[in-house]
Amino acid sequence: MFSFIVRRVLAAIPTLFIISVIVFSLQQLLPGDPALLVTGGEASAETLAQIREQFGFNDPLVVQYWHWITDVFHGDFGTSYRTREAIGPMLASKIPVTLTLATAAMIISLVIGIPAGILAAIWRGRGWDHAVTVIALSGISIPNFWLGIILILVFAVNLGWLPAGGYVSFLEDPVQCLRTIAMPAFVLGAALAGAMMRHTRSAMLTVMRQDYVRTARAKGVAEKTVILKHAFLNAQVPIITLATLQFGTLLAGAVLTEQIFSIPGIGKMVVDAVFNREYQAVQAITLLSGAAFVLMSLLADVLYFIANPKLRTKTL
Amino acid sequence: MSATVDIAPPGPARAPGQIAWIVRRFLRNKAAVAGLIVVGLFVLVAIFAPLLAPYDPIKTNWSEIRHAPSAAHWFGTDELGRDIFSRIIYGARASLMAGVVSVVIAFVVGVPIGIVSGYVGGVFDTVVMRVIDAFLAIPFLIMAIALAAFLGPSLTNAMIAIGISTAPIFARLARGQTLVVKVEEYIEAAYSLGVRPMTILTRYIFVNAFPPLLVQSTLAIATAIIAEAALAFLGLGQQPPNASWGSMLNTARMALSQAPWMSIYPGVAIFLTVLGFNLLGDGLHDALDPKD
Repeated sequence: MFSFIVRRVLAAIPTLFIISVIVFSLQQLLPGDPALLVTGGEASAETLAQIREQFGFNDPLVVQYWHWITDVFHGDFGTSYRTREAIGPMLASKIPVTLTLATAAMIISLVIGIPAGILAAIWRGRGWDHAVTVIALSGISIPNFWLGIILILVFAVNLGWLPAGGYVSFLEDPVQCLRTIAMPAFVLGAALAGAMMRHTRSAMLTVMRQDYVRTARAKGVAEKTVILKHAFLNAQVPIITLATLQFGTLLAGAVLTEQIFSIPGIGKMVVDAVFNREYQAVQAITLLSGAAFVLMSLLADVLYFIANPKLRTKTL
Repeated sequence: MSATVDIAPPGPARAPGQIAWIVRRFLRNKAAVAGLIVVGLFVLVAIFAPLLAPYDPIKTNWSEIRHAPSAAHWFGTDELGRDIFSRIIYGARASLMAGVVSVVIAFVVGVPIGIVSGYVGGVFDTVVMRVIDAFLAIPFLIMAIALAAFLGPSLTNAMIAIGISTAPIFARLARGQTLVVKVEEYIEAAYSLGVRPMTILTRYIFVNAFPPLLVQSTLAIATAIIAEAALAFLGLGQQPPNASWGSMLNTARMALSQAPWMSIYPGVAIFLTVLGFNLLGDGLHDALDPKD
């Protein structure tokens, strides 16, 4: 088990390195002189030369990359050209907010997606199966920012049941926290629930065709036990993988959701950074989301390894 | 000499009868046909927008600001008194163009990389796939937003950003298909007949890897339309005063209580178009790959 994890961590290092190179290269796309960006517009040639020297814009790209990645490892992700503040601490204050939202969305998608997918597999070809297919496809096709706007219109503007936006920490006021994240978490979770339904249905159908399920039925095991114990326990591996990997999608989905519901998380930070031309912050969040995906896929592999005893005995 | 060899090895190119069979399979699938009709309707709306739109989509009218839907303005008017129905019609142009152009970019960039990588194999393939994996690790929308932010806000840059963010998916799929096709007997036959590698790549491998790439393209258009709407919503896509469904939703949310109609119709338009492409993609998948 330990050697498996070590091997997977070592394999992830080159990917993380390439992600960092891609993200660093983004700033080469900026048109014009980056020193102008620091001054915010017009400046004398002397000032611009001084800024180029101070920020290392004259250094070779490899040296610039080295300075940048060193900053990343120090946890400050570079310094904002505009406010001259380190980006790391800003980012650190946003992460718990987005994680709370993503966790709530994940719970909603699992609670809706898995039972709906199991029932669709059991009642294959019947009304519920067709309904699940339609709901899942609609969940994937609805732009989540529009769903958010419609929910605000119904539940905040018309009915007044929930606040239209804002965020309260769970530690500060759990009830108010749930009230503020209910709509955004549903918006984020809905699209994921669609994918989860489709995946659970197809994983269950594959498992329910296996010999051991037929044997269990032939032995007279109760249908509920066959489905929950024999079939679902074996179908959970692809479901775990999807759920883990979808955390990256949740992070991306949070960009628009947080913007609509005015939630001060990473998603809102990236949009604000785009508007304020804080390119280092955009780079930091892009890097962080890529690294988060690599870590989640690492976690998915470990969970897959734990959930699948056959794999465990083969590797050890 | 090998360059002039023009004997087609017995590859599984689809015979006319097989294409007719695929078309029949597709037409039997009601959901797929519904998707085709929806997509076709939106394409017609985009093409004939000047004929269909009752008003100029960018003409402001200060005496008709935020008027509710009526006989004169079926979908109401917006914060500048512009006719929402006309803007939805013209918005179809931006959305469909963004969907198609960005997928063409993704296809043109990604597929050759994937096919060559899979065909060459070895260290080259390993390195290319590592880079592709790194691109795929960055969530699609965050990558598109970052690229669009660095390139500057415009519809063209949004399409480039979405195209580049989607390209790795095509590269990976094309590479996978190449690995499957390159060990087939007809490829070996082509080798032994002395067919040039370029011809093998384009005439045999690409042609046989095309069906799944076509399915992926259709589904990718759906994703690209949502991405363009998202970028426009954030101010990184089509710029005002030109009509775009995403930017219409952005202005609509500022007036949710006064003018709810402004936020309903652009969203319905995005939803229907995306649903149409998703149904079409699923239908093509089922028709081209009866195994599933």
